[in-house]
Amino acid sequence: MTDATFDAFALPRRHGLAEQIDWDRWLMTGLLLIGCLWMLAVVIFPLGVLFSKSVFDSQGAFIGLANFQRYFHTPSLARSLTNSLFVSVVTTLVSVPLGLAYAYALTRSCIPGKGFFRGIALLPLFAPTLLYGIFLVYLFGKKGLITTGLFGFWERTLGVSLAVDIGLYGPVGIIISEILFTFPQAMLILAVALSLADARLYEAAASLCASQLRTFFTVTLPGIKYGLISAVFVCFISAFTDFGAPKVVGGNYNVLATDIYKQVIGQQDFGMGATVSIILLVPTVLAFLLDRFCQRRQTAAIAAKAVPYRPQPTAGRDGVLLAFCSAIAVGMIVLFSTALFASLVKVWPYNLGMDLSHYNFRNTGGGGLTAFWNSVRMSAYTALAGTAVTFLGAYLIEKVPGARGLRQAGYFLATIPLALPGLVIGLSYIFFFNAPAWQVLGWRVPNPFHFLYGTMAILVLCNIVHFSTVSFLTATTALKQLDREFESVSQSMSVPFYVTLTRVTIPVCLPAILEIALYFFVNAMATVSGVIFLYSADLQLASVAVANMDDAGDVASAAAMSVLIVVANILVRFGYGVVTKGFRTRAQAWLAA
Amino acid sequence: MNQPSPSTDTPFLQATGIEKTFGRFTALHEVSFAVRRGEFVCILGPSGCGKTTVLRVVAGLERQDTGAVHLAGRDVSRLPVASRNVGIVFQSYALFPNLTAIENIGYGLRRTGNRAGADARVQELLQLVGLTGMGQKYPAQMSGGQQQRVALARAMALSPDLLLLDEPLSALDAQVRILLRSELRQLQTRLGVTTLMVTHDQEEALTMADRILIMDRGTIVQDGTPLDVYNKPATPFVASFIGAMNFLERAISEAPGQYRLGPLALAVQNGHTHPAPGTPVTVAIRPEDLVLKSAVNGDGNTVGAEVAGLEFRGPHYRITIRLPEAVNGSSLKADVSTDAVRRLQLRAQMPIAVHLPPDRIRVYAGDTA
Repeated sequence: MTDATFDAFALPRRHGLAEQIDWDRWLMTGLLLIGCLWMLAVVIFPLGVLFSKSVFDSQGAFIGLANFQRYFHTPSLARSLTNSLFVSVVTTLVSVPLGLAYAYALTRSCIPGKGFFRGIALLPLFAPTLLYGIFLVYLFGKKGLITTGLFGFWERTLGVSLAVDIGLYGPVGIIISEILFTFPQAMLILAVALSLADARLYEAAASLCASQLRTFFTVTLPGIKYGLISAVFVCFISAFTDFGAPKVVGGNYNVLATDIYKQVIGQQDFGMGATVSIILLVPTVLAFLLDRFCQRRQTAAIAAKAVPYRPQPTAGRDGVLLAFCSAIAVGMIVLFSTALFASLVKVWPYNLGMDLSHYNFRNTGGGGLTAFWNSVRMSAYTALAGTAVTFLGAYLIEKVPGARGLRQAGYFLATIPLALPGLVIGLSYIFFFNAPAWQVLGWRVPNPFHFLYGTMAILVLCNIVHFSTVSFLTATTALKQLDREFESVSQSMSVPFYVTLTRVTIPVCLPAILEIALYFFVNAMATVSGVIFLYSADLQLASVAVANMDDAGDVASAAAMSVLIVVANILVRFGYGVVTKGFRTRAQAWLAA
Repeated sequence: MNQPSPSTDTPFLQATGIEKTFGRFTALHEVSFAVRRGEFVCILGPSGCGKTTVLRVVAGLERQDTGAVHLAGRDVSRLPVASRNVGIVFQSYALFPNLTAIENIGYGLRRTGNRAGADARVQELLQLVGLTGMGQKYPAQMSGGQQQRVALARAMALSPDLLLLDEPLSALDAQVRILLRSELRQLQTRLGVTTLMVTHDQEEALTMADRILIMDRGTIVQDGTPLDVYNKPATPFVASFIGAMNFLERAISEAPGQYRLGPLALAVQNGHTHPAPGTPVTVAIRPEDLVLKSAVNGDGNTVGAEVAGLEFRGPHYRITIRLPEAVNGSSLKADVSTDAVRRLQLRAQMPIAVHLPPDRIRVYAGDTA
């Protein structure tokens, strides 16, 4: 070391600044408290109102469980519970193995074009689930391409009709749609689980002469146990609560989600709507709790010093997996091209000439391009506000010194929305925000949030809550990767927490933050269930317009609007890619170890 | 150097009766110690003994349940870390990865508002830790040793009253660690900053510290200079934790300074307090203090035994010696120079005589178990 003269007293001492930090701690704890109260206000209270609606009649008289009795004694209603269960169980049984095989190909094989296959598999997540119904109708509906044997083309050219009617409307159509909807989600979860593997376990298995199949069942499957459990529950919940696909291809086959919609919008029976919502909520919450219970038992299965697994080329396996992935990719491309094609065709199936007439939305309801731009604005606000709220929330829950109880409460509150279907959030928000005042123990309490009703703000709020848990967990994971002592170091230098938050924590977490914003945007664009009860006549939305145009028989316009939604999401995803790449280039110096 | 040298008057840092529990686990029990101004004190103990908790309580990162901390004449027991004027170097260094070395070191200085002064100070600190010209590098571009110096410079930037080091060298390669040991100690002496360091590495503590506090299961079991704790370990735990120690159990006190182990009479002259005659004790001696001879020859404190095994360790041999059943049948470890092994022509199964020098023997009450 050098012989510098060291003047320890060259700078002023910092006792003056120091008092700040105690205040700092109070500020953080206060913010966390506000965050918890906020979650109470936007999650717990609306749910409470929803519960109460199910046990009161429209005149406000207490009727106990009469609505539930009526529900189970009306066969047409009670049937939809078993229908929903059937559809979601079948979907889960198909989706999880498909997702597992696909994720396995992406993580554990040497097939070419992994980036392409990954992107294609995620395509369904960019579209409203209504769209799956729509393109299935164009393929398998009464005038569908397959059903009519390419409008008789095969008959004319090959002499055989090759027309196949799969009986789309009903469980078949719903199940195909839900598989499309849940497959990418299962694939994502399992790809993460599969990418965390310790190569040494495989080397040990190989050295013990275990066959590939035996290795798969004794090493691979146990290693992704918790991912599999999660994938099963996520697929089940998604299929069980989806509204869009059954709305389009359900026909007379009722499921709980469409029942809620029919009770509320069709029959204006809010009490029964609330009742069905509760019935929808029960299996969902059960699945959510089971998943949480299982995940809690997960300890660090991968040792810190695990050697990452690198797949070796194996001709047979890679060939089979490549064929499998290609089949799925071709299927996806066919489905989405069909939607694009249908949106361009003048009059299906009579005039197959193409133009953009369905994209002017002039002769249809639903709000047209205004609705589309409303959706873009709403999604942008959701992305901005949602990212800020969830990241800050995760930060506080992770970093507030002490306040253990408050942090646990915050964590619990933040994970609840994962169990809440969009329809349930939407309906509870009508009840909660529409009420000018509540009667609480004989007192009239004015509703301080009433002014939000019918505004853009309530739509954004609903979306933030609806998609907050996944974002929250992403933020938490990113924050946990930071050194736990950053805050201690800052405090020891009398630097307030918000300086370290903005100078260090946020810059380092930027990739996760961008990912959260993208997630919010894409989902807000695509969701129907969350917002269908909350939009207003002068604030129409693209995804709702798809539902309404499809209802009115303007299926081509519905397809066109869906295409716009998908294109907007793809563009935003592309923009995200560019920004992320720019960030990585700029941060190369400190990311490189 | 404009700091006063270590002085023996009132302690600069004083912890009194610190208690800390986490749930039902008692992390610290009755922890009291004092550090003089300019002193370098190590807290040494096995993992889970509470040593890091002590550091965090002193820093103000954990609040003690009871007890007080006085620092530089102030009662800081209830002050947050920011008001205690301490600099901390963590085991992981906790360097901000997106900031350069200069930005890391100047992180707390920006708040003083004196920009030119802060810049000059950062340069001064860079020079001090020998990183002149490295200021624009990010932590990921530096070696472990360089990162450690940046962390040290950052901790010293605000002229702390007390420097707290939490296992600062444990993340480094063995050779760098030894180099940085002496650098760190020289720097601390030059700056005169009072320093409290936590480590589980006994060699680190012995070579660096003015004084060592040895902790076991939440309490301080010995407080002394490196020589003291090595030569006069207060408990069997300290004896076996620092260095190696042979324990001979079931010895009986016969008279002041006289013990018996079967046929072996042992004289002990080390200034210890004598237990009452008839008390069972454990006699202990370090492997390097045993003297091997070819025959007993009627010498005191000497017993005939057998060589059970030899282990070559480079500069010396570790010899395992089996004592006769009549003594207590246990084994002793002896460290013997390569030269002595040659001279005695030591090999397995040969008879040997072992001498236990009276001034090197430690006596502990009861059994070590």
